Amino acid sequence: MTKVAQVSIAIAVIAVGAVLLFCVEPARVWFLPKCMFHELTGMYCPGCGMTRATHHLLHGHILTALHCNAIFTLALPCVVAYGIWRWTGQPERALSWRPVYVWLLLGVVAVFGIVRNIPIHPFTLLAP
Amino acid sequence: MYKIIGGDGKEYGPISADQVRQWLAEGRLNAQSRIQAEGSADWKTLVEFPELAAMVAPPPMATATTVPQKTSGLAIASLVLGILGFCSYGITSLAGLILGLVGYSKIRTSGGALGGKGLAIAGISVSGVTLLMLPILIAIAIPSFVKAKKAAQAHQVLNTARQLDAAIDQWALEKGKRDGTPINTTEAAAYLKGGWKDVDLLGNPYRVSVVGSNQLKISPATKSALQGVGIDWGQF
Repeated sequence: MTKVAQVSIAIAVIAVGAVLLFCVEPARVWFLPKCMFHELTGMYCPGCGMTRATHHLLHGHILTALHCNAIFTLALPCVVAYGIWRWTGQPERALSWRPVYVWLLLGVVAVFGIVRNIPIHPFTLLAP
Repeated sequence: MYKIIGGDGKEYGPISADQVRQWLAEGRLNAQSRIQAEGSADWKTLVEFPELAAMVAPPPMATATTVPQKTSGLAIASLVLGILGFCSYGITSLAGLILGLVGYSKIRTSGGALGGKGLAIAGISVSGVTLLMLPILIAIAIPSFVKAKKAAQAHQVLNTARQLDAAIDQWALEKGKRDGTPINTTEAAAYLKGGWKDVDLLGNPYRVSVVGSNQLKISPATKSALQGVGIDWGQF
């Protein structure tokens, strides 16, 4: 597949998802899957609130989105920028993902997952 | 010990592996030189002997230090998808397991050019665990899925009931209908966006009686069908 085809498919998939999430409020509809971890344990996983955050982001409510899932809202611009940079840049400009970076990133996400479950005021802001 | 054929076509040796290394360094031999292991009758090129080929090609570690090692994207994806399996009822874990296995074998055969073996192993393990949990997860997921659908339907039925009720209130107020007056739904429909609804989402009728606090009721059949989702039907 050519690069253009790959990018086109990616953009099409993202666009369909964005339109869907713009139109529906995730908490109100039954067909969007619920987080299994939350259903099982009642606690929030690091990814909980991402669909809601995307919905609010699409409506321009950045603060609400941050409240739903702060780490996702902060990471999204970085991911988009990285994607554009990768697709437009030369292969040798690709960021070198050393395993230690990946472990660090997963560590940050895990800490976020723990902190947002602490039922004391400043931390409750991180719960969706 | 090896015998070799030199650039002049003559046979030399037998010489030791160390001697071969030295001659390679001096340029007397190259990767394509004809060479014979002692005790064998076959003449082969130098690179066909794994122990000698290693002397020709720079050792893998040398390339790893000059070119920065790339981490296998498959390994990263495998671990991320495996972890996501905890939230996605194991759906992503299947992809995580496959990517992890492919990634691991690619790392193994890359000769040090690809890194992230630990990530790949973690990805395979996490994906495997979540996949094994899948039957339990499905047992949990299906009731919660049904419940979520019921709750959404219940909210919709209740919302429509509120709108109908408000339309009757408005109609009674504007037409001066007192409590106890039979309700004319055709007239009341004028105060409703989208027309009057005789039946709810489940096909059971909304019960309309006389103006008053009990003027509109949701069918008991609907209420019992949608019970257990924690909805408060209130006055309806």
